[in-house]
Amino acid sequence: MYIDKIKLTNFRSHKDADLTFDPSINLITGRNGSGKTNLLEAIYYLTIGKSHRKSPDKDLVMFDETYFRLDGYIATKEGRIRIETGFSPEQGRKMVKLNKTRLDRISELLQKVSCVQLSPDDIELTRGSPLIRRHFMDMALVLTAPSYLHALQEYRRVLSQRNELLRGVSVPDPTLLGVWDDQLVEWGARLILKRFEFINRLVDLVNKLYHSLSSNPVHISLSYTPFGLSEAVSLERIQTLFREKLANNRARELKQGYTLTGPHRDNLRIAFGGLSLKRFGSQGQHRLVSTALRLSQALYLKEENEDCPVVLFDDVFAELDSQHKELLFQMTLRFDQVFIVSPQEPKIFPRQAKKFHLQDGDFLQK
Amino acid sequence: MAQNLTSLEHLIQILEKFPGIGRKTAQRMAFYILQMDSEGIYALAQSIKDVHEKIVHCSVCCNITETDTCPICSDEKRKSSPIIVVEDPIDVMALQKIKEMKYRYHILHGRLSPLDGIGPKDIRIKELFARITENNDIPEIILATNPNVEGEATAVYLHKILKPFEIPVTRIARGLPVGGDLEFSDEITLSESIRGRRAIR
Repeated sequence: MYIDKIKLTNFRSHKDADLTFDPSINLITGRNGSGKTNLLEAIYYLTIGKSHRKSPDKDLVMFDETYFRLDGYIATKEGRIRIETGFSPEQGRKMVKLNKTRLDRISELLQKVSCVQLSPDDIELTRGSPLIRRHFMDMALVLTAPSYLHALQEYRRVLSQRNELLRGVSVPDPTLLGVWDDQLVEWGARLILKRFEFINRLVDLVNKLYHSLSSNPVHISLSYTPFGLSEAVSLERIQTLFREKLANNRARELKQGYTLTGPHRDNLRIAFGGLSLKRFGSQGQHRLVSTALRLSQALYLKEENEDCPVVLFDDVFAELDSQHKELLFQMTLRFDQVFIVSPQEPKIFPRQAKKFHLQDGDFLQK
Repeated sequence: MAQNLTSLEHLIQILEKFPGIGRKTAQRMAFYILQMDSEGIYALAQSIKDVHEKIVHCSVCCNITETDTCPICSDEKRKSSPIIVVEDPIDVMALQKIKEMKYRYHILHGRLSPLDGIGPKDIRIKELFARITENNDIPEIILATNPNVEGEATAVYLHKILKPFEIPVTRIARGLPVGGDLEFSDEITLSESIRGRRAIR
């Protein structure tokens, strides 16, 4: 898929911008603070329905304005679609329209269009807390399987209900707690099974990508081991183990007042030639592996949805040496449409790109 | 609000609390009420007073009614029919559309939700228990709580605690709407209906 046109109104630093993009490579240059990342954020928001930086909608409205609006035309495998979205803090409600029809749920967009962003923060994927890796898995699955989003929402709801019960002043009746256990296991096991399937596919992708980025022939292993399982067996087996774990933790959970096991506590461990990347990895290794992970997420979406996501490269070239820069540029050719943001035009750069330069809030097309 | 209109403001504040009514709609309603003639105002006030005074909960099924026992519970044709357990009176109104089959109901007036501080003691489970204990003409209990997390939890809880009575307890099906085509159904509905498939009799 590719974004053909986008119109930004009062979005962050962009008062009014109307842009037509190249279907393959777009380069956006400009000084720090000129609004380059804000443009990527607009593209991300148009396709995913929220900010990549997890900013609340009201923060996206230009200073002293009462609303923002994005209007874009996207070519997908199912044809050209128009997405309009906007937010006004006064009305307090997000508006999303697909081909002029208002959508009840933003999630209806998720299976039609998708987008993956690479940024310098990606290093947290390998170095940061398990939460970031859970979010990484969830994002890939939500964008490919609506049933996963449904299970995730139900699971979160059950989890907060169950935690409330555990937190209560009196010890809950075992039958009542059992009811919430059943539901936690029901939805949680589905999440775990899907995460297993995802990780199995991701391992090959991430190794292929890493080896095209680096001459180091080391193997990257991803280990996902909920309840000590090393591979997905069956939904029933996961449910049984989850249930046993809940039974074993009963006393501790009642004492601590929250749910101690389940997909909301999952971790994904990454090893680099058999050694924990988190504990032993160098800055450079973290950088390359996290980049490979993010790119493999994009390739996964491409394979699953049979439509390539738009890929945004936000200033990720800066920290790479010239050899790795060149290799990463080669990588961009594997996707339909990419946006590359950089302070200056990189020395080694494919000539066919469409170039935009941001200056004093205006886009100058070269 | 402009100067010296406290009574109007008070009315708006009351109307604003209604479900689905925001500030603007409340204002429009208040101004409409303001221009009504005294006959209309009296009828409105009286009808609000009436529902408050006349409507009680049926001592058998807990549904809202003006006569205790309610017409459904006193209907001879429904004697010995299955009991459908629902969350709210409005659900009975929906189920009453089923003309050809006669059922009885039990209204819980809520669903289990620890986040709202609602446990088994806060909904009409005790009354359901009493009803089952005192009557031996109940062939089946059908749990028709809503198909969301809280409704499901309520159904599972009832299923567990009703076991000792040895009455068949069933849960309403979820899945495809009648007359709906497969190709127009969303993935979640489809996967639910495949999960809940049944053998053809």
